Amino acid sequence: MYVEPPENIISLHEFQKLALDRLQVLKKIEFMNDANQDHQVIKETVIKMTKAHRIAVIADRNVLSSFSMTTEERKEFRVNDNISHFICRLAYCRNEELRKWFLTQEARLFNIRLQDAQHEIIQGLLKDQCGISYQVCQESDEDWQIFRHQITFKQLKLSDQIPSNFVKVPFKEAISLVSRRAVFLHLGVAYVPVKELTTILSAHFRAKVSAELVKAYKFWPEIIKDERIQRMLINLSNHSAIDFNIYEQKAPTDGDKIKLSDLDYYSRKSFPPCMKSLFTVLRNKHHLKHYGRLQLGLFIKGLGLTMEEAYTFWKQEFCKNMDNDKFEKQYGYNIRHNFGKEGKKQDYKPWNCQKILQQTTPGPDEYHGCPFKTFSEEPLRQMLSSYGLKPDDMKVVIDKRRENLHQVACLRLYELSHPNGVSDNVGNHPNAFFNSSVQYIKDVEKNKFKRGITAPSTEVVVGTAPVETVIEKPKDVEMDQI
Amino acid sequence: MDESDPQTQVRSSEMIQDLEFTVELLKIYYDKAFPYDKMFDWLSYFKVSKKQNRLQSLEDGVDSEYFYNREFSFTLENDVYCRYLCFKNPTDLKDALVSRTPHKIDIGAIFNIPPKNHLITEKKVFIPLEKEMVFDIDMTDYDNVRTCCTGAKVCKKCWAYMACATQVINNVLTQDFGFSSLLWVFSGRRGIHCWIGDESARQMTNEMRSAVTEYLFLATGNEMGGGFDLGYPLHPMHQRAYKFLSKRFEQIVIIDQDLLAHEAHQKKFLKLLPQNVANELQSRMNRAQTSQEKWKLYKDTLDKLHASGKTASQKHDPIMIKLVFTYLYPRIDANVSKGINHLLKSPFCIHPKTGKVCVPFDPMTVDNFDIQNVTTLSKVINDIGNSKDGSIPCLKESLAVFQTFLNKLKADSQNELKKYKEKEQSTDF
Ligand code: SF4
Ligand SMILES: [Zn+2]
Repeated sequence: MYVEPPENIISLHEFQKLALDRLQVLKKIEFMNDANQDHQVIKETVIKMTKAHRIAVIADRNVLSSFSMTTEERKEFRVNDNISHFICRLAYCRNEELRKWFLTQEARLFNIRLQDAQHEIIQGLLKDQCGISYQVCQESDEDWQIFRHQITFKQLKLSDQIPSNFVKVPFKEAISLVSRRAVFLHLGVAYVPVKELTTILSAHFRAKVSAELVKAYKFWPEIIKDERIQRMLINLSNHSAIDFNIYEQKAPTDGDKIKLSDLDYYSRKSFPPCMKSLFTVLRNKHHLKHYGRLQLGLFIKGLGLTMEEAYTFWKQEFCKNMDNDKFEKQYGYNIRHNFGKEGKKQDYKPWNCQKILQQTTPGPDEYHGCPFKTFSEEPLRQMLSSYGLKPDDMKVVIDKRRENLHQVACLRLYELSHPNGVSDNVGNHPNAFFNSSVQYIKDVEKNKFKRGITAPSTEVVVGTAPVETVIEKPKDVEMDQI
Repeated sequence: MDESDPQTQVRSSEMIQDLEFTVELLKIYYDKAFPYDKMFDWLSYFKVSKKQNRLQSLEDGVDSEYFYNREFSFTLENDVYCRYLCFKNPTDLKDALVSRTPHKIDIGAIFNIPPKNHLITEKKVFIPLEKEMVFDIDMTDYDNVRTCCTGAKVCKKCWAYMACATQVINNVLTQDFGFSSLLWVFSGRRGIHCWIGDESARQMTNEMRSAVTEYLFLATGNEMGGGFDLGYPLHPMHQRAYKFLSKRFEQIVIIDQDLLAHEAHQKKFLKLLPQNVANELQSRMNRAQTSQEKWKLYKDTLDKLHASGKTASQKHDPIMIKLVFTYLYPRIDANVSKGINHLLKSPFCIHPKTGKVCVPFDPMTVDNFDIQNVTTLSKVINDIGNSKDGSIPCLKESLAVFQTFLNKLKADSQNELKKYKEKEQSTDF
């Protein structure tokens, strides 16, 4: 668990190479996860990569033997694993965003390495690395006798219902199981099935790395005293391939500028579901609760509306229910805040899908979040049909959602409602959905126009075109639209 | 801060019976009635600065560091909102309340330094360390299942929803999580708050708070969600909740709320049922009049279907489970509970719109809590006028509830101390 910092003396160059290798693995992990690839595929790829880069071994000895590794190699891998982890940790400690990215990918890597490991191995790791050994349930325990059926509520197979299959873990160390309600709890103790111990170990891992990152940050001024090290670390974390998926808004040229009065038009087809639902509710109820306002507000900001326009936008609706004074008092601040004109003066970025999907489940009268996750099927169907989806198409989208592939479902919706359109980052960012859609509409318009004049002479044009010119096949889009 | 629905605010003025809420009366209340010492006992958690420590402390008059580092915020008369206030001792707090007469007092986290100094030090080192975990339940979140009142109005009938929520949450927090120091408070108008005072709760990180919240939270009230999935077998906690709530379902939902007699509600009800049951029922229900008649029709239909084997057996009745959870399961405001930094209104505030005191109540007797006769500012003022020894009869009961909570905290802190001392001795050869 990377407790001991490396002592080996190796050259800066070697350091850097190892760190870069590790980063490649981490980035691959991120990429594959974002693309919702199959777990098994991710696992295999990552194991192959770590082996090729000679940086990490996995916990399960059985799998290991199939890779037939010598003890020597094992040792080398261990050392490299350690070194590369520590360097990357230093490179990624300097701000919240980097820390979060690093922590997420490292935790994923850790989990991949633990997958399929026997629970004995996990228990061993817990003990060796964290000094923790959880108490195993006994047949004679009073709590087991009283609660045995509740403790085993998820274990439908009779064979799992034996006491030694459960350990007692303080609930605070089992939070991911607690929040999924996947364990029985009594007086603060979670009765964790041994096969879930991986989750517990990986939570310890996360907490540990997270704390270490913060600690490392405190020493940052010390670390960067050596200019060469500073340069190396900054370079490592500035790698252009790391795209934090934060949407940078393109400066709209004048002709492209979205006007306030256009919003209704665009909301129909070009707003992704998460924004359309908020927009519709706002138009109907003239009110949105806090998180809804944030989600929609930042999106609209991302469309390039000025703060004044945004202010008018909210005011128009909200003031159907309240007077201007009250509106200014209660909401004016927040709107300016979103634009970085109040409070911390931070210029907030529009939320990406990941952020939206992480939001708290909406309560009564709340509509934030991603409809592919928060809506039940019936309302979702209605939402989809508002994009003009036919029943067959709808099934494609709904199926994805049933697999919990929310972002993929969104991408399918886009593709189906924008036949042959180019989708740039759709399913990762609502503003990408919007931009791609608007571009699509423009292209369609343009093509209509072009076809209008050139159509009669098409053959001539084709005939005189230089041989190299690839003549694009007419798109189905045009057929559909005209 | 900003969630109040504008319409309800207008309506709320109709319900106020004996509202006499003026700055003058509030001043008297803060001067003569507000329980400073008890509030101090609570928020200091009996961590009183020792004499020796006090010599080292740079500031005079700090009775408890723990209390001093706690954030308070005031909402003044014209909605002016002051954050990052803190107080050295009960007298200090009293002086501030009497002189500024805030309409609302909120309590926030305990920081690493006295919150008023947050601008002096660098931003980074001003961090919240501890806070009670809190729950907030608001009656307006039940608007789509009540017929008696809407918005800010609450009557005995709809209080029943709150009573259910209180008991389910109280049970989960004590039984499942093992928390033992819970303070339940009526929020003065239409909601309730719960403060978990256990040390282990105060020290929870945001992730842990989220986990506890998610464990309890079900998106039952959301129109779009609808499809909350409980899974089968039910989680033991849900099983308990179901057992408790299903006994009350008919009385509260069918009889008291008379829900099925309202067309809109009947429609929603039918939507919750499986298609075949709903089809069977719809036309027949339309002919019946009262909610109870319609409910009987539903049960008959179901029995028939059970008999003919068209739906699952009665032992595990997924339809009833869905109904009970949809209507009666607690609807908590999850965001309030998840953050260590979330402020919540202090007990013993006066609600400016109702004049009611935010009184602590006993969750065990919540069914008998008389929402319409909660002590008000004017009652308190009256009692003060009639009182010779300074006691205030109309607050007695709620102060006793508060005291019970404090006694528990005191016992805990003494135990803690004892353990600590034992440990010291054992390492102290
Ligand atoms: S996937 Fe993203 S863009 Fe699509 S609805 Fe969900 S949050 Fe919005
Ligand atoms: Zn009512």
